[in-house]
Order: sequence, then structure tokens, then C-alpha cells
Amino acid sequence: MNAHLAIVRVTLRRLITRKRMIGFILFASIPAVVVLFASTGDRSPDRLAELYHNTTFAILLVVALPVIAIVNATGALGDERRSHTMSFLALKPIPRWSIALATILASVGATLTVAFFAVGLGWLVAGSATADWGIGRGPALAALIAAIGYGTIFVPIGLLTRRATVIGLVYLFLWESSFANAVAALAPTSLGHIALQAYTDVAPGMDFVDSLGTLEPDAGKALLKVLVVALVSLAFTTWALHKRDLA
Amino acid sequence: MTIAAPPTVVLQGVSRWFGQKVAVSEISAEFGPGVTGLLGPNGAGKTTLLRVLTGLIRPSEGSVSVFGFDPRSDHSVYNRIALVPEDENVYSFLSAAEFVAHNARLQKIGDPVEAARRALEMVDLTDVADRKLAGFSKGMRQRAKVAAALVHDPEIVILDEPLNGTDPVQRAHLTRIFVDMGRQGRTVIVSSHVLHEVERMADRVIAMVDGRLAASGTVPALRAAMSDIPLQIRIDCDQPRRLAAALLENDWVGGINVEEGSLHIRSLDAEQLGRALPGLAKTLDIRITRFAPEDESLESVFRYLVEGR
Repeated sequence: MNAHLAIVRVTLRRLITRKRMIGFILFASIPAVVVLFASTGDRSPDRLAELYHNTTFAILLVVALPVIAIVNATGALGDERRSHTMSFLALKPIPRWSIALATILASVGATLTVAFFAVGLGWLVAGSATADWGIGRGPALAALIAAIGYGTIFVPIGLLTRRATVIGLVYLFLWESSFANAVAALAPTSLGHIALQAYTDVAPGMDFVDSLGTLEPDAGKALLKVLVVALVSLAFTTWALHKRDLA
Repeated sequence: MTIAAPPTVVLQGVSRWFGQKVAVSEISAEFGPGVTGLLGPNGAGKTTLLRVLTGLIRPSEGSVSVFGFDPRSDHSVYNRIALVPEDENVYSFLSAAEFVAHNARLQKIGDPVEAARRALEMVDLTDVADRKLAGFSKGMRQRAKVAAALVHDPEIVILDEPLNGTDPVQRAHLTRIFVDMGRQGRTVIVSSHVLHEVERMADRVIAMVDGRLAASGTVPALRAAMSDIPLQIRIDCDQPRRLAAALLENDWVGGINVEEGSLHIRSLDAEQLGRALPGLAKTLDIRITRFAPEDESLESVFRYLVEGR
């Protein structure tokens, strides 16, 4: 195992603790549980599919995954600094970009682990209830985009300030949920809306297509945007590791 | 301080401040092969200086050179340097073997597991190598950190209060390791606020107070400087006024405050006082019940050195 993978592995082990994972997966699996209960009634497959998409959007993509991703991302390097273990990572003959990339990969990986269980469970429940096994493609793609977006952008912020998680939550609930929803022109600045841009492209005809603001359903553009966000975060994290105090 | 062998670490006019607080002020020093003690009371700026020296934090002013390179811009020097940080925290979710092997991997060592085994053996942690660090005592964690630092056989080893939390047996063992490393020609920099701890391992000492360089040189030279320091000494006895009158006849007594049942003497030569006192007490038939220095803390000694410069 090379140095880069070693950092990814140790950061993942720090972020993925048993208690935290159980809490996160339970939180993120609420949509699957809702659909499971609903499927025991006499709802039609179309109504169940609609319920699945609406709860997945409102609970998993708007609240659960962003919160989980922000916690993971701000802790990826921030915890090293706060717990004074940064010297074990930074005083090594490793390029700063490599440390930045490894911690970003771990942050995204930790969030994707939760998303894998939550989306997978929802997919399984909704697929078996509606007999439409393509139903989970939209949530899966949107979860991937959200995990990459939130999971990368808050890594350098976690390194720069102790209040990164609070900043992340304020951004999420004030900017994304309020301003970007209220002002259509602000939608492109919202990671949640970019994830939704992919979701509505893969799963057309959803009610929440109206929430896109000025964005058009387009999975390719959404992926491209989030990859740009990831690259900018990588550059910013590398800069912060170079220029800022690490203890 | 300048040393005979070529220096491996050079600090030139290094200062570091945090807002209004000056943690390190204009320190110029060179470190070379052998053990150098960085001595100073808590809050003297030792940890900040070591962090600047390793590149963990930037100097506000001045420059740091390790093997001729600035560690903040040339990270390749980190395969020749190691820091044992003062903080107790480690990756507590890893076992000692995993922790040390992880450090070996980050140092790009060919066989990290074998390197970790050797390093753990050096600090006597082989028996508990597979136990999680979360369950380790402070002393055991300290030794695990030392193993992690030594796993890549560094030429410069920087130890920030490495004996904190260790028991006497562990302390003796670690001291021996550091002394041996110095004898092997490595640059070993050990910070401590305990003079006798540093004295046991260091050939040279740099003393810091309030972020400034207070004194530097060999341990005997520093000791000699300290022996000239006036000491405040308290003596409890049954006839304090009589004893004070007799003591004031000596020129090594700077002044005396007499209280009920005790004297507070400002001695210009504590050694002379120690020698003369039993004889005086016997001649005057005075019963002494207590003899104790009142300000022998390292901090007061250092303050004297700083103010006396």
C-alpha cells in the first residue's frame, strides 16, 4: 500500500466509526422505511414511486446526505488539526496535493458508504414494490453528485476554521434551502440544485422539477459542475496545507 | 549558539506571534549532531519554536533551514527529520503496530510492518503492539509516538517533552535511546522544563524564557551561571532575630526579613550560606527546624538569567 492509500484508509477509519455509521445510515434510510410501510397498504405502484421520489428528494438529498457529507468533510482534515495529530500527517515527504486528494477521497468515500446503504435499501424497497428496477437511478446519481460536491468543498474549510461544520450547516439551511429556492437565478450556486439537475434528467416527470430554478435537467452538466467543484476544492486544500499553520 | 560540527538546523532571527502575543522572539540558533536540550518553563515558547522549526507553523519573521532547505517549501526534508509532539493525542483507533506501520508507509519505507516491529521493539512495546492505542497509558502512548518518529531512522529527531507521563523505568530507557542517537551523530533536540531531565541527556542547552533565548551553552556552563543567582531562602528557627544579626555580618547575605519564628534571607551565595549555617546555629545554640529555598523554580532562575543579560 502506498502513502496515498494509507492516508485514505486511516482517514476513512477515523470518519467511519461504528456509532456514527449506524446513526447516519438510520437517518439516511428514512425514505426507504417510509416506502416500506406505505407498500404494505393498497397504494398503486405509481403512487408508491411518487412517494419514493418525493421522500428521497426531501429527506435524503435535501437534508440527510448534505449534513452527513458536511460532517465528514469538515472532519477529514479539521479533526487532525483539532486533535493535534496533524504532525503525523503533515511532517512526511508527501506532496501537499497528495494529502489533499487522499483526505478528499476519504471524505467522499465515507459519505458514499452511507449513501450506498441508504440509496441501496430505498432502491430495493421501491423496486420490489413497484416492479420498476430502474427507479433508483435518479437517487443514486444525485447522491453521488451530492457526496462529491459537499464532500469536497468543506474539506479545506474544515482545515481553516474550527467552525466549519456550523458554516456548512448555515450554508445548507440558509443558502441552499432558503435563498437558492426563493431566487431562481441562485440555483446554479447550490450543490443541492446541481444534484437535482441530474436526478430530474435520469428520472423525468418528478414534482420537484419546479425546484430547479434556472437550471435544466442535465446529468452530464451536473457531473461536470461537481467535478469542477472537486478540482477547485483540491486546489484550495493544497494551498491551505502549504500556506496555513498546521498546528 | 554556534557549534563545532556543521549545523543541520539553523534558525535566523525567528519570531512568531499570535495576534498581540509574542510566542517566540528573535531566536537565532544552530543545532548539530548530538543532543541539545531546549529548556524553559511552561509557556516559554519551546513548543512554538519546535513547530516553527519543523515547518508545522510559519515564522512571523526570520528563517528556518533544515539541511539547507526550508521545511515549509521543501517537504523532501521530512524523510530525514522526525517530531515527537507534546500532545498526547494519537490515532487511538489504531493499534500500536498499525500506527507505527502507518507512519512507515507515509515515509515510503519498503517493508513498513517489519520497520514498525523494529521500532516498537526499540521502545519496548512489542508485547502490546496489537493493542489499540485508545487503551494505552500516557507513558505508553509517548513511547508509541517515539517509535513512530524513529521508524524511518531519521537524522534529526525533535522531541517535545518526550518524558511526560513516563514512569522512572521508561524514562531511563527513553533517555538512553536519545543519548545513543546523539552519539550516533544524529541531531537530537529535546525540549523540557525539567533541568535535571535535560542534564541527563543533553550535551548542550538552549534556555528560553518568555519566547526569548535566555542562555545557551554546555550544561556545566549553564549550571555555573545559575550558581551566581541570588536565592531567597526561608529558615525557621527558635531565635530568628539572633540568627539574623549573626548572618548580616557576612557579605554574601544581601538582606534579611525577620518574621515570627522565621527568616527570609536573600543570599548572594547559597553554597556559602549552606556551609556557614550549621556552625552558626551550634555556636549560638539556635534550633533550626526548616531550611528551604523559596524561589528555586526553573522559571525564577530563567527570569534572572534573562533580566541579567
